Amino acid sequence: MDELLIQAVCGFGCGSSLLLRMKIDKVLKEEGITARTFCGDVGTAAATPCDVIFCSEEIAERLMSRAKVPVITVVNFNNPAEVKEKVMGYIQSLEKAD
Amino acid sequence: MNPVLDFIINQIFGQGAIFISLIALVGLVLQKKSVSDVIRGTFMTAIGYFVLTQGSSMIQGAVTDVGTAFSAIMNSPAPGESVDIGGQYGTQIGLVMLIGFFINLLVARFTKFKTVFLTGHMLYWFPFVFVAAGVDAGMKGAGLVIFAGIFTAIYMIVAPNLMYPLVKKVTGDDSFSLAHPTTPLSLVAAGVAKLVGDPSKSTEDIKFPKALNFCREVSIICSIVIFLTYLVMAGLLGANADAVLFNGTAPFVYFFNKTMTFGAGVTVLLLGVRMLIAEIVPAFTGFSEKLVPGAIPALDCPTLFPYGPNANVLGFLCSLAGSIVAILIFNPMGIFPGLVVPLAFTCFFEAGTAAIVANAYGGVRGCIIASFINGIVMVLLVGFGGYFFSNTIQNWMLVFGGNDFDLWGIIAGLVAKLFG
Repeated sequence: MDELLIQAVCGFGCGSSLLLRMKIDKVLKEEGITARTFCGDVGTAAATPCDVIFCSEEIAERLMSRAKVPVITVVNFNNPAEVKEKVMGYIQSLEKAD
Repeated sequence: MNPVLDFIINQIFGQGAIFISLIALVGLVLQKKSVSDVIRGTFMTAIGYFVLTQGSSMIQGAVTDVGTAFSAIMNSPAPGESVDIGGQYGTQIGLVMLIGFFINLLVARFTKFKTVFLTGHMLYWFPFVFVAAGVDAGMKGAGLVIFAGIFTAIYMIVAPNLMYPLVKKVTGDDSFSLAHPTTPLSLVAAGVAKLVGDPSKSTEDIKFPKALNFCREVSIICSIVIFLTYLVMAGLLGANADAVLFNGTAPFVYFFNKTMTFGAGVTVLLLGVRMLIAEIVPAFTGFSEKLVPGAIPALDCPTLFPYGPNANVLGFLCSLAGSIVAILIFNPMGIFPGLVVPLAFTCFFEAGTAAIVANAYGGVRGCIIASFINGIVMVLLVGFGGYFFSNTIQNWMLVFGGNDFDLWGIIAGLVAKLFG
């Protein structure tokens, strides 16, 4: 499989998405999963190639209809337990599909 | 000077992209990233620097004519050439970022003020604003870096500590604060809402029409604002509009090109900032986790958005209304050195966050009244900020200012003019 591409999205693609990206990186590192993570803004995110999008519920509402990849919502970017649950849920769904 | 030293200082470090990608390189190595990650991250940071510069000049190009038109209408001299701070002072901005952040870490490590400033683009933009304030007042060299470094450090420590009780009130959680220029607007919001509002009637109990969701497409609204501004300017110029603005281009095509170039400029600018900070901020975060036990992270404002999505939209609309009223009153009075246009981004992010704070202190009424007042406050800030940034970043302020960028920029500018 090619390297997994994970996009974290917020309004500007600079502040809170970067926070989310760092939390996702931490989970991936702990679990020994290799993937490339990067940030995007809500305007361009749907047009940027990736395998999955992580964002807030408010951003997800605006991306759902346009995104061609799974959109996973995180309520509290600052809660490591929630980020871990969402990331691992997605990774496990990939393993099942294989 | 020794020619080798001269080459290193003036050529290598004189080039902002090189200095900032060196910071990224060191950060990546310290995080023990793989060789390919280090190479990719370092290159992307350098490329991001140039993307950012291009974005700034696109925005500049799209709004410069607004200033020219305003001067023609008011019969005042046209604004002069402004200094490209992002492009010419990259190294100074990089140094200021390092100085500010490390003073913040030291204070968090050794005093009771435990917040660490972690909003990525703000780590770049506050040094940018303070360097501009210094340059505008005629400072240069080491003095400029020390001046901007001290201001950045003070800001990074003071603002998140002022926000901390407000964030606690909104979230009921004391695990984080905000690092964002919404701070003065949020303080106004808390004060006003407490006076006039009733916290038991929350904005979140209202059923909001889904149609209002388009308000969240802030880039589009911002472009519409620019379009309308040009339209009004052309209307005021009347028969002169062709000579001052269009130069023979069909008016609609002219408006369309300016508006879309503006939208493209904002998109490119944000992409550049994103690339520039993508490697540096994780390194800074790693440092703070190692060096400051019990640190309180100060984060970007959308972390508060889930606590008041309705308040956010309501605050955006009411502050936009307030700023339009203020602009219609203050611009013709001629008390500002240049034109102020409605600040769509600031209404959404800064006033939108302040509205969530207002809701926590004073419910719907508090949110509406405080947001309207904030619309006026931001126009006054960006208007008077013009006296301190007209040679440097006033065009950038017309898009992103009206908040701490202007408030602290004015304070820094006053200090620089007194002692510089």
